[in-house]
Amino acid sequence: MSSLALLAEIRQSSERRPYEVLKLAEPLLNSSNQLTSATDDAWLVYEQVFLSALDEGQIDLAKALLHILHSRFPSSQRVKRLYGLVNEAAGHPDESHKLYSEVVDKDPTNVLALKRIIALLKAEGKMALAANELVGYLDTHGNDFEAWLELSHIYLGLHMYRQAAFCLEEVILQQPANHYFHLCYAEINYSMGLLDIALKEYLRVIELSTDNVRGFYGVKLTADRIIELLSSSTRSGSGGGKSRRDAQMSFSLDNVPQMPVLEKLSQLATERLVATYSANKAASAPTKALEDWLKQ
Amino acid sequence: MAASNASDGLKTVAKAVAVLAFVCMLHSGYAAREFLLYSKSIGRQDLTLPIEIVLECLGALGVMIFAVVLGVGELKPVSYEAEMKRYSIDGVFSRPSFQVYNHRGRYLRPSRSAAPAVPAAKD
Amino acid sequence: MADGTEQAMFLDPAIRDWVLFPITVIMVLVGVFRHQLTILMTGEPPKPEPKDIRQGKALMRGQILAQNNSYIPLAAFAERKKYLCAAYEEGTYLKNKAQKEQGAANLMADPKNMEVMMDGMKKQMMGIVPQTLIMGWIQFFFSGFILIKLPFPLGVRFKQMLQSGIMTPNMDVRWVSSLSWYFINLFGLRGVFSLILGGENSADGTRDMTAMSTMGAMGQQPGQPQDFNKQFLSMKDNLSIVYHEWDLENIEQRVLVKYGKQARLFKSSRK
Repeated sequence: MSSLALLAEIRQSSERRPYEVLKLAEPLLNSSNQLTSATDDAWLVYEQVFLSALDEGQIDLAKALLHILHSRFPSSQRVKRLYGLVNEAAGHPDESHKLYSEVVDKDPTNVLALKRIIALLKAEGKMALAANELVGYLDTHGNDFEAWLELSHIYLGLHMYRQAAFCLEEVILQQPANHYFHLCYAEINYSMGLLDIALKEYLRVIELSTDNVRGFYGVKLTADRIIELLSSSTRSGSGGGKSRRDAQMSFSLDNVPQMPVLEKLSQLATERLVATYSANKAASAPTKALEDWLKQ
Repeated sequence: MAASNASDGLKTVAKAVAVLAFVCMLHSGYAAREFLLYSKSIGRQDLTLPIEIVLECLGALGVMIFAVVLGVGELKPVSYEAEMKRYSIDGVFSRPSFQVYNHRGRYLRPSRSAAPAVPAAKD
Repeated sequence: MADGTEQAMFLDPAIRDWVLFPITVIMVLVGVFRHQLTILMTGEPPKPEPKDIRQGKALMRGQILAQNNSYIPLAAFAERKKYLCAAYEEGTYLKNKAQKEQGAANLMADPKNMEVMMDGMKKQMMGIVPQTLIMGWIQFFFSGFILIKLPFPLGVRFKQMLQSGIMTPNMDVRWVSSLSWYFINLFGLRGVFSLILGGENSADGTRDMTAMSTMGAMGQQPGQPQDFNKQFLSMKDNLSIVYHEWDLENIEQRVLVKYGKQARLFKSSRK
């Protein structure tokens, strides 16, 4: 694959891989005719390399790229936002804030600038404030799933699991077939001790994505834990002396599946995990990663 | 299907076959029209098409469908799961609008940077 | 030709040069002119205010909830339903909440709505006027003309389409009258316009035709402001009748079936 195609792939995956992007872009930027001939994509590549340069702390390169972008799109709001990003990376968040505020004053519907103002709060470590701002933002832009996701993660950082779960429910409503969101939702519910919902959501993950290792670990953990709780509650009898565990539980044991089903699920998880690891030779993967890194 | 590992040569052949089949279909249509005009002009009443014209048309259609499918290139899996395989958990959760840039990135590779030469501004 | 019933009729080449080509060329030119005029007259679309966006997005949230409710647990759904229904009822998300009671009459009061409506009217007028003019011109000068003979045979059913404006029951359907040529151009030039002006052009007259015919029936044109209060209330009704059934109710069975640990069951396995 050509480096342009690789760059496009990274761009579309929206993963943050700045070092690879810079390495791929190096020959393209040095031979000036290659990028200009790439027509439409060229400007996207410039923006991508710009962001990666910021991530790698190469402010000079970023500024040069920004100059190119600016001379092509002098009045673009998107490019204006990039100026703010340079200032952020160079350690002048106040100037960035001023710039974003100007943009928002002129056009209060500019989503990108609004989000950057929130991101600035995040960069300063004012998580609670950022969460507040995000709630205000989401009141207007209720279908921005990226913002819901962000809010969920901020809440997770603040250990506000109930709120984080709410945000993920919004995300799931918008993209119900994306198993990553179900996975995250399951993990939040597990953290809250709602094992019945967690188990079902973990099962949803492995239904949507065959042999998802993280999903199977979740199934294994939750199923075993529920089995333990069930057996201890039957052991302690139906008398008045309820065990201490019951009091701690935040969910009712009436809603969980039958014992044999749970055992089957636990067995299935064990079986699939063992099979997946032996098939993928995953044990050698870390070694290979090390070799790759040393050979760099 | 075989199309997934079809080489370029096979694809070209398939396309040529498709074009040929299309021409055959046109020909069968033309033949049908000529036949109808002819039988009308000699005053025949039963207007059933001769079997070879019908066969040519149906056969060409079948061949064309098959050839087009073969020649169209790699077929993609239709399931949603296969589509989701393209996304990684890092990408799905990356939230690019909220990324912050005052992180430690600049200290990670200060000496051996992959710095491309600063390109000259072109206007 | 094989059959001897061919009608011996010949067209003066002058008809081709002075009627057929001019009609086509003029229709293309008028289309291009219209396109440019539309670009000139429609400036920037009015920027929505945050409150407009908020209004629309709130409605969208209700839609999504009604659509995908089965993917979240019952408690989560009930919470949202309660909140959204109350909000719709009270008009929390309405742009100008104070005017809620006054109903649809105040739609005109908002100057921006007025502007949007005027814009729509202008566009429609621009579509209707030139087409009417061209049609009048053709009917006035060339009514009853036969312009062209199609190179392929057609069934009798096409007679009405191809020979409107001339009353000749026995003429071969292949002959096309001037008025029909106008209509064929009107509907057929769309491809030509998208070639010379790009896909999103406003030279095409047929859209206005359809808009014109549905205007009376629908009562609401595209581009006209909507009454959000009404929409909110109907969305509330929609939401309140949604019967929630969690999609993951029988997920254990589904997973066991998927991984081959259990025979396929019917959906009756719910408690």
